[in-house]
Order: sequence, then C-alpha cells, then structure tokens
Amino acid sequence: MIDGLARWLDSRVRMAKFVRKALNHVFPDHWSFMLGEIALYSFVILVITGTYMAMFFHGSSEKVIYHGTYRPLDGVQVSAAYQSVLHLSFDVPAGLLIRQMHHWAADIFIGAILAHLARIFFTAAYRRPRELNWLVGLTLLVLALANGYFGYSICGDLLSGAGLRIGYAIMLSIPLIGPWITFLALGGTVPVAATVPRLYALHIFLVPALIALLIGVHLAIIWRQLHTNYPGPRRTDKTIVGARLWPSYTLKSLGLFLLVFAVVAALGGLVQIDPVWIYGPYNPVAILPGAQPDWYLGWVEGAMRLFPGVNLRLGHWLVPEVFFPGFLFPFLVFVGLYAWPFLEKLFSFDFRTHHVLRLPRQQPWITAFGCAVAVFMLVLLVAGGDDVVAVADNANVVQIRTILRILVFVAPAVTGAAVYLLCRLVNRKHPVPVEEMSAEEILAGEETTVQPQ
Amino acid sequence: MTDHEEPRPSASLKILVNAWKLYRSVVNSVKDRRSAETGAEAAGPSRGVGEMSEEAARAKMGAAILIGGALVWKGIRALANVFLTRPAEPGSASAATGQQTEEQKARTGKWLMLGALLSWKAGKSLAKKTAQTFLEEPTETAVGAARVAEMPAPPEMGRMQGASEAEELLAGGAVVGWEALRVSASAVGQTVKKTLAAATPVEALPSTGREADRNLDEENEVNLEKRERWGTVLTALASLAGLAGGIAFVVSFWTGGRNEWLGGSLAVFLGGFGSALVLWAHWLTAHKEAVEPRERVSSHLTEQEGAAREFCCGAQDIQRRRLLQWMSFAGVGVVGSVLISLIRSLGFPPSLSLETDVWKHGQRLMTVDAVPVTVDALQPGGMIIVFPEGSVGSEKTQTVLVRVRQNLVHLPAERSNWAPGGNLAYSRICTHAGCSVGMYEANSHLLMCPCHQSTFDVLTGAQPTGGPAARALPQLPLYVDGNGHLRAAGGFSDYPGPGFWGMPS
Repeated sequence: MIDGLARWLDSRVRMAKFVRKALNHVFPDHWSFMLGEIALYSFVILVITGTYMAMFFHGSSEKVIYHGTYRPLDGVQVSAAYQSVLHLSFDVPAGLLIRQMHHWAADIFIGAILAHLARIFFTAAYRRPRELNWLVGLTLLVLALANGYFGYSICGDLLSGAGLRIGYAIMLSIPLIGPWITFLALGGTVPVAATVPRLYALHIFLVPALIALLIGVHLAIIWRQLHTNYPGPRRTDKTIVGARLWPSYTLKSLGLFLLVFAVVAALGGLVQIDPVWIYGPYNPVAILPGAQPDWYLGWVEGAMRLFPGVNLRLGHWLVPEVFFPGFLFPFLVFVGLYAWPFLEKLFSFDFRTHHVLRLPRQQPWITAFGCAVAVFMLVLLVAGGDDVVAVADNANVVQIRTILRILVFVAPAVTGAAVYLLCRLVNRKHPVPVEEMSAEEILAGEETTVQPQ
Repeated sequence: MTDHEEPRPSASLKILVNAWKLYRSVVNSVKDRRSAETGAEAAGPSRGVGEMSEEAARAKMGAAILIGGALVWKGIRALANVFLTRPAEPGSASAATGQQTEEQKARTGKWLMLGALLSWKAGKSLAKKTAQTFLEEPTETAVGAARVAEMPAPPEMGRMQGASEAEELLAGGAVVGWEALRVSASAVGQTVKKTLAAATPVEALPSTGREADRNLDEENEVNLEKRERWGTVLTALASLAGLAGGIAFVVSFWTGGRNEWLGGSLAVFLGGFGSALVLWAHWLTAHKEAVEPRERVSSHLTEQEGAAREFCCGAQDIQRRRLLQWMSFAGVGVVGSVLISLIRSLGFPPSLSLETDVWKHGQRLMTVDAVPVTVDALQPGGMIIVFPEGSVGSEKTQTVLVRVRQNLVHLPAERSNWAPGGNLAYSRICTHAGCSVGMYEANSHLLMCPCHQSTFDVLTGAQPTGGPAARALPQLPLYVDGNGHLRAAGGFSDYPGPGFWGMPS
C-alpha cells in the first residue's frame, strides 16, 4: 500500500530522487544535538495542546460573576477569560491536564532553546557558514519569550494582571515613542479591556505562525549546510560523519518526540503549574506578595529589582528608572547576541568556513565569557525572587538585595577567571587531537560520492 | 430533425473507425519517439529488433483501455437512443396498447440513459486509473486517449431512428466486450507492470555511499545475537507498557479519573512507545557510521554570474518602463497609507488617557465598601485603601490612606495642611512599574511595593527610601468637612503610575 501511495505521489510531484537523497542524509550523533530537537517537539506539543485549549478559552476581559465548580470563588467577579480557564480546569475531562501540559511544554520549549543556544555558543557552531542560522534561532528565542509572556498574561488572574502592568510600565518607559506604541499595542492604560483580545490574537495566531515559519527556515538551512561535527577521527571541514536518516536516526528522533511528550504529560499530570484559582482573579485592590514572572523572564525582573532608583530628566522629558533595567538591558543583551558571530570574527580574525566544532576548552576566553554571562543571568534570576529568598532564609529583603547587588558583578568575574584557568589546565593535561587527514585521504578507494544534482 | 432523410453512415461504425485510427496514431508516435531515443544513444543497451519497447507496450495498453471505456459509453447511449426515439409502427396494434408500449419504451430508454451516464462516469475513472498505470507520463498518448474519451457523440446519435438490429447488437456487444477487456487488461497490466519493474536497470543509479558505511558493531566485535535477543525483549516490554498506559488513560478518562492518573497514564503510554522506538534503534539496528564529503555551501562562480545575468535581463525590462516604476512606488505608498490607517484604529493618542486628573476637589474618600472615611476612622499605625466618591474599585484612582501621629509628619512646607489629623493619602500605584503598593510597615512608616520592594516613607511625602523606584508616590491633599469626613482638597500632587517620556515634573 505504501508502495502504491508513493508511486501515486511520485507520478505527480517527482520526488524519488529527493527521497533517496533524504533517506541517506547524514546526521551526526551526539546528545547535545538533541536539544534543538527537544525544542522542536515541544513546539509541536504546544500547537496540539494549544489548539485544544483555544476551543475552550474565551479571550475577553468582560466582567462576569463566577458560579462554577470551584466553590471558593463562587459569586466573585472575574473576567470571562478567567472563568473559561476555570471551566477548562475543573469541568472539562482532562482539561486541566492539557492546560498544565501546555504550560510545561512552553517552559521546556524555552528551556530547550536556551540550552541549544548555549551549546551553539560554547562549541562555536555559529561560525561561517552558520551565522545566518544563529540569527534565525535568536529570533525564534525572542518570539518564544514573547509568546510565553502573552500566554500567561491573558488568563485574567492576579499574577498575570501584575505581569501585564509591569510589561505596560516597561513599554511606556521607552523614550519618545513609548506612550504611543504602548497605546497602539495594548489599547490604553492597562488594565484595559482591549489588551487581552489583542494578546490572545498574537499568542495563538501571529507569533506561532512566525515561529513555525522560522523553524522551517532554520531546518532548511541545516539541511542545506549539513550538521557540524565534534572534533574526532575522520571529522574534518570537508567531511560529515554520523548516522543516516533512515532508519536509525528516524527511529531515535521519533522516539525522542514521544519521550518529550511523555515527560510533558507526566509533568502536566503530577506537577501543578500556574494554579490561577489559587492566585485569584485580577482585582486592582488585591496584591500578591512573592509574585514572580515565569522563570525565563526572571532575569529581567531581577535586573529591575537590583537596578538603583535613578531616572533621567532631560529638560522636561523623563527617562523613567524602569527603562534601563526593563528595556535597555534586555535590548542590549539581544543586540550583543545577534552581533556575536560577527564580533567574534573581529576578535579572532577567522573568516573561514568551519564544520568541525570547537570544544569549550579550545576557546578559553569565549567559554569564560559565556560562563560569566550565564552566572550574571543566574544571579539576576535569583534576584528576581529575592523576596522569596528572604522569606525562605528569614532574612531582610534589603540585606539580600545589597548582597545580590555585589554578587551580580563579583560572581561572574570569579566564574570567568576560574573557567578560564580550568580550560587552560585541562588543555595542557589532555590536548585535543586535531584531525589532519584530508577528505580525499579518508575516502580513498571508497565509492561514497553522491552525484551532484 | 430537418436532415433526417439524409443518408448517413452507421454512427457506431464511425466511432469505431475513428477510435482505431487514433489508437494506431498514438502507438506509432510513441514507437517513433522511442526509436529516435535509442538511435541517439548508440552506446546504450540495444534491444531486439522485433521487441516492443516499454513505452509502446504501455501506450498500447493504455490507449486500448481508454478507447474501450469510451466505446462502452457510446454503445449504451446508442442503445438508449434506440428505445427513446423509435416510433411505434402505425397500425400494428391498437392505439391504447401502442401508447402503453411507447411509454414503457420511453421509460426504459430513460433508465438506460441514466445507467449509461452512471456507468460512463464509473467506467471513465476506472479506465483512466488503469490507463495511468501504463501511461506514466502525460505524453501525447494520454492526450490522444483523453480526446477519444471526451469525444462528443455524433449529432446523428440524438436522432437515431430505425437503427438496424445489427447496430443494436453492436452497441450491446460493446458493453460485454468492454467488461471482458477491462478484466483481462487489468490482469495483463499487473503482469506487464511487474515484468517492467523487474527489468528496470537499478545499477544505473549513482551510489549513495550506504554500502561503504562502517559497521561499528563488527569493528567492536559486538555479540549481535545477544543484542538481538535483548533488544527484542526490551522493545516488546516497552511497547507493552505503552499499551497498558494507553488503556489506563482511556479507562481513567471515561471513569472521570483524577488529573494525576490521566497525566501519569498518558506519560506511560507515550513514554512506553517512545522508549520502544529508541530501544529498537539502539539494539536492533546496525550501528553504522557514515562518512560523506561535504558539498560546497556556496554556488560556483559561473552559477552566481548566470543568476545575476538572468536577473539583470529581467530588471532591464522594468527599468525601461518608467511608468511601471512609478506605479510600483505609488503602490507601496498606498499600501503604507492603508496600513497606517488600519493601525490608527488600534489606539488613540496617549495624552487623552495619561494626563487625566483622577481626583477632583471636594470628593469624599470612600472605602472599598463605599463607606465615607472620617478623620478618626483610622488609629495611628492603620492603613486602608480609599477611592474617590463615585468610582470605588477603579484602577487609576486607588489611593492608600495611612494615619500617623501628627507630630511625626514631616511634609514639605507647601504641604503642611495636607494631612489633617495625621491622615496621609498617597496614590497606590507604584511609580516604578505600576504595581499596587500594598504593604505598610507601621513601625518604620514605610509603604512597600510587593513587586520590586521599593519602599516609600509616608512621613516625608512618600519619598522613595529603597529599592528601584526613583519618584515619590503622588500625594493627595486632604481636608475635613463639617461632618468629619475626609475630602480631597484637589488632585494628586503628580501624575500617578509609572513614568513616561512626556510626564510633567
């Protein structure tokens, strides 16, 4: 039957040659190459669970009185969005499971992208010819972060309401254009009824479509350029070493998809996430101590907490204090990330094509810098929860903040120095063997050439 | 019915002759093409002189089937026409009987016509599908055959009166013949297809290098038998677990199971089959390492130049036509204006909303429950949330009222009468990021924002004393009316909420 179907298709789109080539595509095998795949599969899970949820969710700030299954909130004024989330969570069979799976899959999606980014950075996979895919991947990260924020901001609970107000304040703080673009984007002074439908439309339509498109571009570029190899025997800039797509790689990758799905299902079933009924509905008067954004925005939150209360008066214009840590800092972080492959070229003066990765210890300066930045971000992430830390340690939040303000500079410096010395030490003890064989030597006497198209 | 006296050849015969001619021409054209190709590649494997080429065989078969299908339709239609249009012989029977027979015939004819149409539809698709097996490419063969199939009925057929018995028989026979042809053609077709597939020269394809892959198992002398055994057992176990998980999920779903059960069983279901796939790949497929040369990532220089040349040729066409250029510019401009117009409806100028004063002079301070607040409602150290009379619960007007001992108040001179009885009112929206400044520590007289832990000293006009906020909370001037109620003596001292570019100082 497959044979018949394949022939049917082939007689319409002529694909036998491509399929034959595709089945023999070589994929290097390494655990760190699975991180991007995990991100891809989490996105698939997000689309599946998200589509299901969209059939129940009501993206509206309209005020309603709740009279549902969850008794503690009976008779409380909530938004229609919040009511539909409660309905999905308590009345739809497996609705809570799907919702929690969606949230967990989003966390895994962004976590996997970040891990993937770190892998690319620490092995210098962004070098020519892969700068382009670095840019595409970073854009995917930006879109994923934005969509994560949109997603938990539309539920109408107290936490998302606070998150929306902070996002509004950050956007409003941008010099010159801030108020205008904020009002265009959010529809007025938050909280305003226009905001949730807009974020919902972005969350389920525009941003996922862009992500899907860019994932396609990302994969197409990988397909054209072929994957990188870690240094090792027979791995050179002129060869690719690995397993073929069919059957071993296909089976493993499909298995990985199901395993990622299984982990998300286990988390969704067993570990509670974003229990909006515990936070309660958004209400301007209520406060939620110990509130944090989702972890992937914790570094911005931490920066906002640690940054000193300083603003800038330019004549009668104001650059508010929240602009520097809330907008300028993340903006510069991403400018730096986007520019990195090109900056690295300037420092290393290496403009050649590379297909063999560098081990982290082969590039001590870059590894040390990357680790320092990672620790910097980690300290900020901790600072984003300094009130929780204070409660846990039974300490004063002011003291904790002072310590973190010092630590945020000292810890990266110490880490960077330690990592640099460690790289040098390991390199001296175990030098990395460099593959000197040419592709012609390796392939001598073997009929392995693929005919050019 | 004007030319119904004219002599004409038998319709069915005409169709048959046409069909046969077309059939021959199609087969011949394919044969010619084939011989031209084999003539061109003299070095290629030569075929026997009498041996029919693949294409010719396929074309013959395909054309025969399609034409056969076409004939069936024509035949049945002819038959139907006979019934529909043949007039009753005058005087052969009583008028009543004759009329009855006529009606019966007409009915039969109609049904036959319907049957003809239906069977034609079915026959056509079937014939085309079968023919497709033989006609792999849309050659002139297929085009020709399709022409036969779509050939309109000759005009005579509509008016076929007094058709001969022979013609009727011919039409009927065509139906039977078609069935036989279809069945046998299908059988023959399968055989031909298999033979052709077997004869396809596979060795001509370029190597993919798969044969040269290094088998790491052999190199490492892995015990394959053991691996096979264990791999089978483990894969089967994992699949069984997956199956059990799937069943558990369905059962718990339909019995209204708890979220933990649903998620857990779904995880076992997916994880079981996922593990089975990974185990299969790991244990039951050969571990092979492929080494392949990388092709150049960039195009060759000549290809680049070729593309550039093509682009420039086309671009010259555009450059020559100034009007086209101007129209494109105008088009982009119009699109831009349209987009800007659409975006305009998304928002309104911020000044309309941001610069509105939310408290008016003389408004009473109300609690969340809409009770007016008196000057002695709070004890020193107390704190409540208040709103202006008439907009209780609104976001922008939320105000925090604290009371301290009068002698502690240390406001700037111009605010000296803003705090009657030690009652101090400040905007509850944090000037840092817009959260509600919800916590009050009475001992240190500090208001604290739960979001980023900015602290504001209520005694000195809510100046920030720690954390990321840089601006004081706007203060609301108060006075006491004759009833002892607190009222606003004006708007906030500053704009409440987070800062922005045009915020007045």
